[in-house]
Amino acid sequence: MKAATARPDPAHSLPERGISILNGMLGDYLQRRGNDLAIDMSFRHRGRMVELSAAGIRATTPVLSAKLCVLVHGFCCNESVWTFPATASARKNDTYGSQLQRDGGYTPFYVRYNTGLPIADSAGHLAKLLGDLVAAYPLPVDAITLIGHSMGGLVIRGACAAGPPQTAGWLAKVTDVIYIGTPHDGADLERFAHGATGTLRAIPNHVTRLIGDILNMRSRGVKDLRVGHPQSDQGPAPWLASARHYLLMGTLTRNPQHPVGRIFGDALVRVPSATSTPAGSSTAPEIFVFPGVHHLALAHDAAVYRCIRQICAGA
Amino acid sequence: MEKATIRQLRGLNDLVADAVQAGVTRTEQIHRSIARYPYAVLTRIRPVAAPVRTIEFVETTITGSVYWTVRLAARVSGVVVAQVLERLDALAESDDGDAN
Repeated sequence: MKAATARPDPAHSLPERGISILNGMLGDYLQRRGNDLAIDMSFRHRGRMVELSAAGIRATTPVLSAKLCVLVHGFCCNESVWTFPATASARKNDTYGSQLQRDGGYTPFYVRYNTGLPIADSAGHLAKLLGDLVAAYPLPVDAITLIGHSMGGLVIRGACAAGPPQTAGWLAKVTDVIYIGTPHDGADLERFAHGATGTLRAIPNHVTRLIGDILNMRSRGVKDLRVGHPQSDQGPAPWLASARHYLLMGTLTRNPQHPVGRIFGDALVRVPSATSTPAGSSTAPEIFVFPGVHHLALAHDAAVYRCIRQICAGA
Repeated sequence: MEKATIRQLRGLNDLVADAVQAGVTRTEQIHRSIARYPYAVLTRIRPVAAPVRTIEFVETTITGSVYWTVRLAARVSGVVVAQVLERLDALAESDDGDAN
C-alpha cells in the first residue's frame, strides 16, 4: 500500500498531458479514426481507470461515504489540473476532491474524457457514467456535488439536461453544481478563431487558405466553445431545477472592475459569459468572483477551495 | 513495456502516418497549383507552347513520383513500426499471462 501512494501520479506525466492536449485539439478525428490515443470517458484515481464495480471502487477508494463529489476537468486538460502546486499550505497531491474528503466527508471521483468531442456527446457519456457509478457504488448514495472547471461545467450542465433514461438513478441525488470559470455564453478566443478561419479561407491565396484549413481542423469540442451552453430541445440547457448552482469565476486583475479584467476576464472566459443565466430559469445561481485568479489557477486555488467548502458545508 | 504505453505508441504511429499522408497530399496540391501559373502564361506564347507543355508534363511526372515515394516510404515505415508494436504487445500479453 505504501508503494502505491509513493508512486507518482501518471496523470501529471508529460505523455499523459500531451495526449489530453491532443484529444482537445483533434479528439473527434482520433475517435473517428479509431486511434488508440482517443480517450474514453472514465473515472480516474491516481492516473488509473476506476473499474465501475463494487470491488473496483473499493480497490481504488478505500474510504467510502454516502456523499459523492464528481470533478470534471476542462478543455485540453486531464484530472491533474485539480492538483494544487506543492506549497507550505497545500499537501502534496491535494485537490478540491481530497480536501473535501478530509474536511467534509465526501468521496471524490475524477473524470477524464476526450475534450475534443462535441460537448453534447461528452454530456451524454457523463450522464451514463454517473448512472453506472451510482449503480455500482457499494453504499446507498445520499448526495452528489458536481464540480466542473471550464468546459467541464458545460459537460455537467448538458449531462443534467440529458433526460431519462441516461439521468435515471443519479439526477435526483444532485444537490449542488459548482461551475468554475465555465463559459456559459461562449469563449471569445474560439469566436476569434472562428472569424480568423473564415477570413483566411475566403482570401484567394494558397498559403492563407492552407493556414485557414489547418485552423479549421480544430475539434468539434473547441468549436462548441464558441456558443458555450449545451442545447436542449427548447434552446440553451436550463439549470437543473432541483439543485443549487454556483458560478465561480476569476479575473486577471485584482480589481474586477479594471478594464483589463473586464475585457479579458480570467484570460479565457469573461465574467459576463461565466455568469450567464439561461432565460426562463427558475433557479438563480450564486456568483462568486476571485480577483487575480486566472483561468487555470481556478482549478487549484486556496480561496476557491474555501468557497467550495463553504458551499458544501451548507449543502 | 506496459500495454498502455504500447497502445499510446500505436496511436501516435497512426497519427503520424495520417499527418504525413495528409500533409504530403496537401503540399502536392499547393505545389501543383502554384507551378501551373508560369506554364499557363508560357503556353500562350505560340512558338514555345509545345516545348513548355512537354516540360510541364516531365516536371509534374517527376514531382508526382517524388510525392508518391514520400507517401509510400511513410506508409511502409508506419507498417514496420506497427508490426514491432504488435510483437511487443504480444510479449506484454504473455508476460501478463505468466504473472497470473
